[in-house]
Amino acid sequence: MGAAVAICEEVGARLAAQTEEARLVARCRGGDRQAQEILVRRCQERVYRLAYNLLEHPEEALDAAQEALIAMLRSLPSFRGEARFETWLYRVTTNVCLMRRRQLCARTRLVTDLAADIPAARAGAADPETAALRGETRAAVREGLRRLPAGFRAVVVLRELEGLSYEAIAEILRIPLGTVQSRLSRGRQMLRDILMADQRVAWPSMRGEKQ
Amino acid sequence: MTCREARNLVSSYLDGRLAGRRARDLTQHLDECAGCREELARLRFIADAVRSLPAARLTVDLTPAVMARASAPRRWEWLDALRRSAAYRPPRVIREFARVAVVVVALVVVVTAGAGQGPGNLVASWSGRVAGMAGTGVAQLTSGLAEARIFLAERFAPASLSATAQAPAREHRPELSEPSSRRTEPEVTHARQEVVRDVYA
Repeated sequence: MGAAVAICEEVGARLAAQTEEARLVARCRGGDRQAQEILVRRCQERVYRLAYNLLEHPEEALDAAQEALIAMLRSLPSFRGEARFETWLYRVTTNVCLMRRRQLCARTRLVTDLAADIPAARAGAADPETAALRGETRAAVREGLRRLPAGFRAVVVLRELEGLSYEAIAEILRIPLGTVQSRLSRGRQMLRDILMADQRVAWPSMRGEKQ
Repeated sequence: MTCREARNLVSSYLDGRLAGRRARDLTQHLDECAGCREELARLRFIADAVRSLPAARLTVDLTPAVMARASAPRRWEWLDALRRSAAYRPPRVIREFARVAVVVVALVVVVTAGAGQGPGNLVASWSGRVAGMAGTGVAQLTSGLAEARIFLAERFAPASLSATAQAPAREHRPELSEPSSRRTEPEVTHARQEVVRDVYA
Protein backbone atom coordinates (compact mmCIF):
# COMPACT_ATOMS: atom_id res chain seq x y z
CA MET A 1 0.00 0.00 0.00
CA GLY A 2 2.70 2.42 1.08
CA ALA A 3 4.81 1.41 -1.89
CA ALA A 4 1.90 2.01 -4.27
CA VAL A 5 1.34 5.47 -2.81
CA ALA A 6 5.04 6.20 -3.15
CA ILE A 7 5.02 5.11 -6.80
CA CYS A 8 1.93 7.22 -7.49
CA GLU A 9 3.58 10.19 -5.87
CA GLU A 10 6.74 9.66 -7.86
CA VAL A 11 4.83 9.44 -11.12
CA GLY A 12 2.84 12.53 -10.15
CA ALA A 13 6.00 14.43 -9.30
CA ARG A 14 7.63 13.35 -12.57
CA LEU A 15 4.60 14.48 -14.54
CA ALA A 16 4.61 17.79 -12.71
CA ALA A 17 8.31 18.21 -13.43
CA GLN A 18 7.60 17.69 -17.10
CA THR A 19 5.08 20.47 -17.27
CA GLU A 20 6.04 23.51 -19.19
CA GLU A 21 5.88 25.74 -16.15
CA ALA A 22 8.44 23.66 -14.31
CA ARG A 23 10.80 23.80 -17.28
CA LEU A 24 10.26 27.52 -17.57
CA VAL A 25 11.04 27.97 -13.88
CA ALA A 26 14.21 25.95 -14.31
CA ARG A 27 15.30 28.21 -17.17
CA CYS A 28 14.57 31.29 -15.06
CA ARG A 29 16.67 29.95 -12.23
CA GLY A 30 19.50 29.66 -14.68
CA GLY A 31 19.26 33.42 -15.25
CA ASP A 32 17.55 33.28 -18.67
CA ARG A 33 16.10 36.78 -19.00
CA GLN A 34 13.74 35.86 -21.79
CA ALA A 35 12.32 33.00 -19.72
CA GLN A 36 11.90 35.33 -16.76
CA GLU A 37 9.91 37.70 -18.91
CA ILE A 38 7.64 34.90 -20.06
CA LEU A 39 7.18 33.71 -16.48
CA VAL A 40 6.28 37.19 -15.23
CA ARG A 41 3.82 37.66 -18.08
CA ARG A 42 2.26 34.31 -17.30
CA CYS A 43 2.03 34.87 -13.52
CA GLN A 44 0.93 38.47 -13.39
CA GLU A 45 -2.79 37.81 -13.79
CA ARG A 46 -2.85 35.25 -10.95
CA VAL A 47 -0.69 37.41 -8.71
CA TYR A 48 -2.82 40.50 -9.32
CA ARG A 49 -6.05 38.63 -8.71
CA LEU A 50 -4.83 37.34 -5.36
CA ALA A 51 -3.42 40.74 -4.42
CA TYR A 52 -6.73 42.39 -5.27
CA ASN A 53 -8.68 39.89 -3.21
CA LEU A 54 -6.37 40.28 -0.25
CA LEU A 55 -6.08 44.06 -0.37
CA GLU A 56 -9.41 45.08 -1.93
CA HIS A 57 -7.83 48.22 -3.33
CA PRO A 58 -7.04 48.43 -7.08
CA GLU A 59 -3.95 50.68 -6.96
CA GLU A 60 -2.53 49.04 -3.89
CA ALA A 61 -3.06 45.65 -5.54
CA LEU A 62 -1.19 46.84 -8.63
CA ASP A 63 1.79 47.96 -6.53
CA ALA A 64 1.67 44.78 -4.48
CA ALA A 65 1.52 42.62 -7.62
CA GLN A 66 4.63 44.31 -8.99
CA GLU A 67 6.43 43.93 -5.71
CA ALA A 68 5.44 40.28 -5.47
CA LEU A 69 6.61 39.55 -9.03
CA ILE A 70 9.96 41.20 -8.32
CA ALA A 71 10.24 39.23 -5.08
CA MET A 72 9.43 36.10 -7.07
CA LEU A 73 12.22 36.71 -9.58
CA ARG A 74 14.72 37.53 -6.87
CA SER A 75 13.94 34.58 -4.66
CA LEU A 76 13.70 32.02 -7.46
CA PRO A 77 17.19 30.75 -6.54
CA SER A 78 15.79 29.67 -3.16
CA PHE A 79 12.94 27.78 -4.82
CA ARG A 80 14.15 24.23 -5.14
CA GLY A 81 11.06 22.78 -6.70
CA GLU A 82 10.08 20.77 -3.62
CA ALA A 83 6.75 22.55 -3.28
CA ARG A 84 4.59 23.22 -6.29
CA PHE A 85 5.56 26.42 -8.02
CA GLU A 86 2.08 27.86 -7.76
CA THR A 87 1.93 27.26 -4.00
CA TRP A 88 5.26 28.97 -3.63
CA LEU A 89 4.17 31.88 -5.81
CA TYR A 90 1.02 32.31 -3.71
CA ARG A 91 3.18 32.36 -0.61
CA VAL A 92 5.44 35.08 -1.93
CA THR A 93 2.40 37.11 -3.01
CA THR A 94 0.53 36.58 0.26
CA ASN A 95 3.55 37.66 2.29
CA VAL A 96 3.90 40.87 0.29
CA CYS A 97 0.18 41.60 0.53
CA LEU A 98 -0.22 40.93 4.23
CA MET A 99 2.77 43.15 4.94
CA ARG A 100 1.27 45.89 2.78
CA ARG A 101 -2.16 45.44 4.27
CA ARG A 102 -0.77 46.01 7.74
CA GLN A 103 0.75 49.29 6.57
CA LEU A 104 -2.33 50.23 4.58
CA CYS A 105 -4.56 49.62 7.61
CA ALA A 106 -2.37 51.82 9.76
CA ARG A 107 -2.67 54.64 7.23
CA THR A 108 -6.33 54.32 6.33
CA ARG A 109 -7.93 53.06 9.51
CA LEU A 110 -9.89 56.26 9.89
CA VAL A 111 -11.10 56.24 6.30
CA THR A 112 -12.40 52.65 6.38
CA ASP A 113 -14.03 53.22 9.76
CA LEU A 114 -15.92 56.15 8.30
CA ALA A 115 -16.85 54.17 5.19
CA ALA A 116 -18.26 51.39 7.37
CA ASP A 117 -20.55 53.89 9.06
CA ILE A 118 -22.21 54.96 5.83
CA PRO A 119 -25.58 53.21 5.93
CA ALA A 120 -25.79 50.37 3.45
CA ALA A 121 -28.02 50.99 0.46
CA ARG A 122 -31.40 49.50 1.09
CA ALA A 123 -32.65 46.99 -1.45
CA GLY A 124 -36.29 47.28 -2.34
CA ALA A 125 -38.66 44.32 -2.13
CA ALA A 126 -37.82 43.32 -5.68
CA ASP A 127 -37.78 39.92 -7.31
CA PRO A 128 -34.84 38.09 -5.71
CA GLU A 129 -33.82 36.84 -9.14
CA THR A 130 -33.15 40.26 -10.61
CA ALA A 131 -29.60 41.00 -11.57
CA ALA A 132 -29.66 44.26 -9.65
CA LEU A 133 -30.33 42.50 -6.39
CA ARG A 134 -27.70 39.90 -7.08
CA GLY A 135 -25.36 42.82 -7.68
CA GLU A 136 -26.32 44.26 -4.31
CA THR A 137 -25.58 40.96 -2.59
CA ARG A 138 -22.27 40.85 -4.36
CA ALA A 139 -21.34 44.33 -3.21
CA ALA A 140 -22.29 43.39 0.35
CA VAL A 141 -20.17 40.23 0.17
CA ARG A 142 -17.16 42.19 -1.11
CA GLU A 143 -17.54 44.70 1.68
CA GLY A 144 -18.00 41.93 4.23
CA LEU A 145 -14.78 40.28 3.06
CA ARG A 146 -12.98 43.59 3.39
CA ARG A 147 -14.09 43.89 6.98
CA LEU A 148 -12.71 40.50 8.03
CA PRO A 149 -9.48 40.64 10.05
CA ALA A 150 -6.43 40.00 7.82
CA GLY A 151 -5.67 36.47 9.02
CA PHE A 152 -9.23 35.25 8.54
CA ARG A 153 -9.65 37.06 5.28
CA ALA A 154 -6.52 35.44 3.85
CA VAL A 155 -7.81 31.95 4.69
CA VAL A 156 -11.28 32.63 3.26
CA VAL A 157 -9.85 34.19 0.07
CA LEU A 158 -7.39 31.35 -0.52
CA ARG A 159 -10.10 28.76 0.07
CA GLU A 160 -13.09 30.26 -1.76
CA LEU A 161 -11.56 32.50 -4.41
CA GLU A 162 -8.42 30.51 -5.17
CA GLY A 163 -10.01 27.14 -4.47
CA LEU A 164 -6.96 25.81 -2.62
CA SER A 165 -6.83 22.77 -0.36
CA TYR A 166 -6.41 23.11 3.40
CA GLU A 167 -2.90 21.68 3.02
CA ALA A 168 -1.89 24.28 0.42
CA ILE A 169 -3.28 27.10 2.59
CA ALA A 170 -1.35 25.82 5.60
CA GLU A 171 1.81 25.78 3.49
CA ILE A 172 1.21 29.26 2.07
CA LEU A 173 0.41 30.94 5.38
CA ARG A 174 2.78 28.71 7.36
CA ILE A 175 0.14 27.79 9.91
CA PRO A 176 -0.90 24.35 11.20
CA LEU A 177 -3.68 22.48 9.41
CA GLY A 178 -5.90 22.75 12.50
CA THR A 179 -5.51 26.53 12.42
CA VAL A 180 -6.61 26.63 8.77
CA GLN A 181 -9.72 24.70 9.72
CA SER A 182 -10.57 26.82 12.78
CA ARG A 183 -9.84 30.14 11.07
CA LEU A 184 -11.96 29.16 8.10
CA SER A 185 -14.81 28.18 10.40
CA ARG A 186 -14.51 31.37 12.45
CA GLY A 187 -14.00 33.54 9.36
CA ARG A 188 -17.15 32.17 7.74
CA GLN A 189 -19.11 32.77 10.95
CA MET A 190 -17.83 36.35 11.11
CA LEU A 191 -18.78 36.89 7.49
CA ARG A 192 -22.22 35.43 8.22
CA ASP A 193 -22.66 37.88 11.13
CA ILE A 194 -21.62 40.82 8.95
CA LEU A 195 -23.90 39.81 6.08
CA MET A 196 -26.89 39.08 8.31
CA ALA A 197 -26.69 42.65 9.53
CA ASP A 198 -26.57 43.90 5.93
CA GLN A 199 -29.97 44.69 4.40
CA ARG A 200 -28.68 44.30 0.85
CA VAL A 201 -28.14 40.55 1.08
CA ALA A 202 -30.89 38.55 -0.61
CA TRP A 203 -30.90 35.39 1.47
CA PRO A 204 -32.52 32.37 -0.14
CA SER A 205 -35.68 31.31 1.64
CA MET A 206 -34.70 28.74 4.24
CA ARG A 207 -37.14 27.02 6.51
CA GLY A 208 -34.59 24.51 7.72
CA GLU A 209 -35.71 21.99 5.12
CA LYS A 210 -33.86 18.69 5.19
CA GLN A 211 -30.97 18.31 2.77
CA MET B 1 -24.00 16.16 19.60
CA THR B 2 -24.85 19.63 20.85
CA CYS B 3 -25.61 22.56 18.53
CA ARG B 4 -22.45 24.25 19.79
CA GLU B 5 -20.30 21.34 18.63
CA ALA B 6 -22.21 21.08 15.39
CA ARG B 7 -21.71 24.76 14.50
CA ASN B 8 -17.95 24.32 14.75
CA LEU B 9 -18.00 21.35 12.39
CA VAL B 10 -20.30 22.81 9.75
CA SER B 11 -17.45 24.63 7.99
CA SER B 12 -15.36 21.47 7.63
CA TYR B 13 -18.45 19.53 6.59
CA LEU B 14 -19.06 22.06 3.83
CA ASP B 15 -15.56 21.41 2.50
CA GLY B 16 -16.00 17.65 2.72
CA ARG B 17 -13.30 17.39 5.36
CA LEU B 18 -15.26 15.43 7.93
CA ALA B 19 -14.97 11.68 7.99
CA GLY B 20 -15.94 8.72 10.13
CA ARG B 21 -17.76 9.16 13.39
CA ARG B 22 -17.72 12.96 13.41
CA ALA B 23 -19.38 13.07 9.98
CA ARG B 24 -22.01 10.54 11.06
CA ASP B 25 -22.72 12.41 14.30
CA LEU B 26 -23.10 15.69 12.45
CA THR B 27 -25.43 14.37 9.75
CA GLN B 28 -27.53 12.79 12.45
CA HIS B 29 -27.67 16.10 14.32
CA LEU B 30 -28.55 17.97 11.11
CA ASP B 31 -31.43 15.57 10.58
CA GLU B 32 -32.83 16.50 13.98
CA CYS B 33 -31.97 20.20 14.26
CA ALA B 34 -33.58 22.80 11.97
CA GLY B 35 -31.44 25.59 13.41
CA CYS B 36 -28.18 23.91 12.43
CA ARG B 37 -29.56 23.02 9.00
CA GLU B 38 -30.26 26.69 8.53
CA GLU B 39 -26.73 27.56 9.62
CA LEU B 40 -25.35 25.10 7.07
CA ALA B 41 -27.56 26.61 4.34
CA ARG B 42 -26.41 30.10 5.27
CA LEU B 43 -22.72 29.21 5.18
CA ARG B 44 -23.22 27.41 1.89
CA PHE B 45 -24.94 30.46 0.45
CA ILE B 46 -22.08 32.67 1.61
CA ALA B 47 -19.44 30.31 0.19
CA ASP B 48 -21.26 30.32 -3.17
CA ALA B 49 -21.64 34.10 -3.08
CA VAL B 50 -17.94 34.60 -2.40
CA ARG B 51 -17.01 32.13 -5.13
CA SER B 52 -19.21 33.93 -7.64
CA LEU B 53 -17.47 37.27 -7.11
CA PRO B 54 -16.03 38.40 -10.43
CA ALA B 55 -12.26 38.08 -10.60
CA ALA B 56 -10.30 41.31 -10.86
CA ARG B 57 -8.84 41.76 -14.33
CA LEU B 58 -5.42 43.15 -14.90
CA THR B 59 -5.67 45.92 -17.48
CA VAL B 60 -1.99 46.74 -17.85
CA ASP B 61 1.05 44.62 -18.60
CA LEU B 62 3.28 44.70 -15.54
CA THR B 63 6.12 42.83 -17.26
CA PRO B 64 8.22 45.79 -18.49
CA ALA B 65 8.14 47.57 -15.13
CA VAL B 66 8.84 44.36 -13.22
CA MET B 67 11.76 43.37 -15.45
CA ALA B 68 13.25 46.87 -15.19
CA ARG B 69 12.90 47.03 -11.43
CA ALA B 70 14.07 43.47 -10.86
CA SER B 71 17.34 44.09 -12.68
CA ALA B 72 17.87 47.59 -11.26
CA PRO B 73 20.41 47.97 -8.45
CA ARG B 74 18.86 47.62 -5.03
CA ARG B 75 20.56 50.75 -3.76
CA TRP B 76 17.51 52.71 -2.66
CA GLU B 77 15.47 49.86 -1.37
CA TRP B 78 16.45 50.43 2.25
CA LEU B 79 15.12 53.98 1.92
CA ASP B 80 11.88 52.63 0.55
CA ALA B 81 11.63 50.13 3.39
CA LEU B 82 12.36 52.90 5.90
CA ARG B 83 9.64 55.07 4.41
CA ARG B 84 7.16 52.25 4.60
CA SER B 85 8.13 51.25 8.12
CA ALA B 86 7.56 54.85 9.17
CA ALA B 87 3.98 54.45 8.05
CA TYR B 88 3.59 51.38 10.24
CA ARG B 89 1.83 51.91 13.56
CA PRO B 90 2.02 49.19 16.18
CA PRO B 91 -1.29 47.96 17.63
CA ARG B 92 -2.91 50.17 20.22
CA VAL B 93 -2.11 47.82 23.12
CA ILE B 94 1.62 48.13 22.42
CA ARG B 95 1.41 51.90 21.95
CA GLU B 96 -0.41 52.30 25.27
CA PHE B 97 2.04 50.00 27.03
CA ALA B 98 5.02 51.94 25.66
CA ARG B 99 3.47 55.20 26.81
CA VAL B 100 2.90 53.90 30.35
CA ALA B 101 6.40 52.38 30.47
CA VAL B 102 8.03 55.69 29.56
CA VAL B 103 6.11 57.53 32.30
CA VAL B 104 6.94 54.88 34.92
CA VAL B 105 10.66 54.89 34.10
CA ALA B 106 10.76 58.70 34.18
CA LEU B 107 8.98 58.72 37.57
CA VAL B 108 11.38 56.15 39.03
CA VAL B 109 14.39 58.16 37.86
CA VAL B 110 13.05 61.45 39.25
CA VAL B 111 11.94 60.01 42.59
CA THR B 112 15.12 58.05 43.25
CA ALA B 113 17.30 60.97 42.18
CA GLY B 114 15.65 62.99 44.94
CA ALA B 115 16.11 60.18 47.46
CA GLY B 116 19.79 59.81 46.55
CA GLN B 117 19.76 56.10 45.63
CA GLY B 118 18.82 53.61 42.87
CA PRO B 119 18.88 54.39 39.12
CA GLY B 120 18.15 58.08 39.75
CA ASN B 121 21.32 58.46 41.78
CA LEU B 122 23.18 56.70 38.98
CA VAL B 123 21.92 59.26 36.47
CA ALA B 124 22.82 62.11 38.82
CA SER B 125 26.36 60.88 39.42
CA TRP B 126 26.91 60.17 35.72
CA SER B 127 25.82 63.62 34.67
CA GLY B 128 28.20 65.00 37.29
CA ARG B 129 31.09 63.00 35.86
CA VAL B 130 30.30 64.06 32.29
CA ALA B 131 30.18 67.72 33.33
CA GLY B 132 33.53 67.37 35.14
CA MET B 133 35.06 65.72 32.12
CA ALA B 134 34.00 68.46 29.72
CA GLY B 135 36.45 70.90 31.34
CA THR B 136 39.50 68.64 31.44
CA GLY B 137 38.55 66.89 28.18
CA VAL B 138 39.61 69.86 26.02
CA ALA B 139 43.12 69.82 27.43
CA GLN B 140 43.34 66.05 27.14
CA LEU B 141 42.40 66.10 23.45
CA THR B 142 45.63 67.90 22.59
CA SER B 143 47.71 65.11 24.11
CA GLY B 144 46.39 62.63 21.59
CA LEU B 145 43.77 59.96 21.22
CA ALA B 146 45.71 57.25 23.04
CA GLU B 147 46.08 59.34 26.14
CA ALA B 148 42.45 60.34 26.02
CA ARG B 149 41.48 56.71 25.94
CA ILE B 150 43.61 55.96 28.99
CA PHE B 151 42.08 58.95 30.71
CA LEU B 152 38.57 57.74 29.93
CA ALA B 153 39.40 54.27 31.15
CA GLU B 154 40.76 55.67 34.40
CA ARG B 155 37.84 57.98 34.92
CA PHE B 156 35.17 55.44 34.13
CA ALA B 157 36.56 52.22 35.56
CA PRO B 158 35.27 52.90 39.09
CA ALA B 159 32.00 54.27 37.73
CA SER B 160 31.28 51.15 35.70
CA LEU B 161 32.03 48.99 38.76
CA SER B 162 29.44 50.80 40.82
CA ALA B 163 27.07 50.86 37.83
CA THR B 164 27.10 47.08 37.41
CA ALA B 165 26.30 46.73 41.09
CA GLN B 166 23.23 48.89 40.70
CA ALA B 167 22.16 48.19 37.14
CA PRO B 168 23.29 44.78 35.85
CA ALA B 169 21.23 45.38 32.72
CA ARG B 170 24.12 47.29 31.15
CA GLU B 171 25.92 44.04 30.40
CA HIS B 172 23.20 42.97 27.97
CA ARG B 173 23.85 45.75 25.51
CA PRO B 174 26.02 43.88 22.98
CA GLU B 175 23.41 41.13 22.76
CA LEU B 176 20.68 43.62 22.01
CA SER B 177 22.22 44.76 18.75
CA GLU B 178 22.74 41.25 17.44
CA PRO B 179 19.28 40.17 16.17
CA SER B 180 18.79 43.33 14.13
CA SER B 181 21.06 41.98 11.40
CA ARG B 182 18.80 38.98 11.11
CA ARG B 183 15.64 41.04 11.06
CA THR B 184 16.53 42.81 7.82
CA GLU B 185 16.50 39.58 5.85
CA PRO B 186 13.39 39.38 3.68
CA GLU B 187 11.05 36.61 4.74
CA VAL B 188 10.98 35.16 1.30
CA THR B 189 14.60 34.00 1.28
CA HIS B 190 14.18 31.33 3.93
CA ALA B 191 11.16 29.91 2.23
CA ARG B 192 10.51 26.47 3.61
CA GLN B 193 9.94 24.11 0.77
CA GLU B 194 8.12 20.95 1.51
CA VAL B 195 6.33 18.57 -0.74
CA VAL B 196 2.67 19.39 -0.59
CA ARG B 197 1.10 16.06 -1.34
CA ASP B 198 -2.45 17.16 -1.54
CA VAL B 199 -1.77 19.82 -4.14
CA TYR B 200 -1.23 17.14 -6.75
CA ALA B 201 -4.55 15.58 -5.91
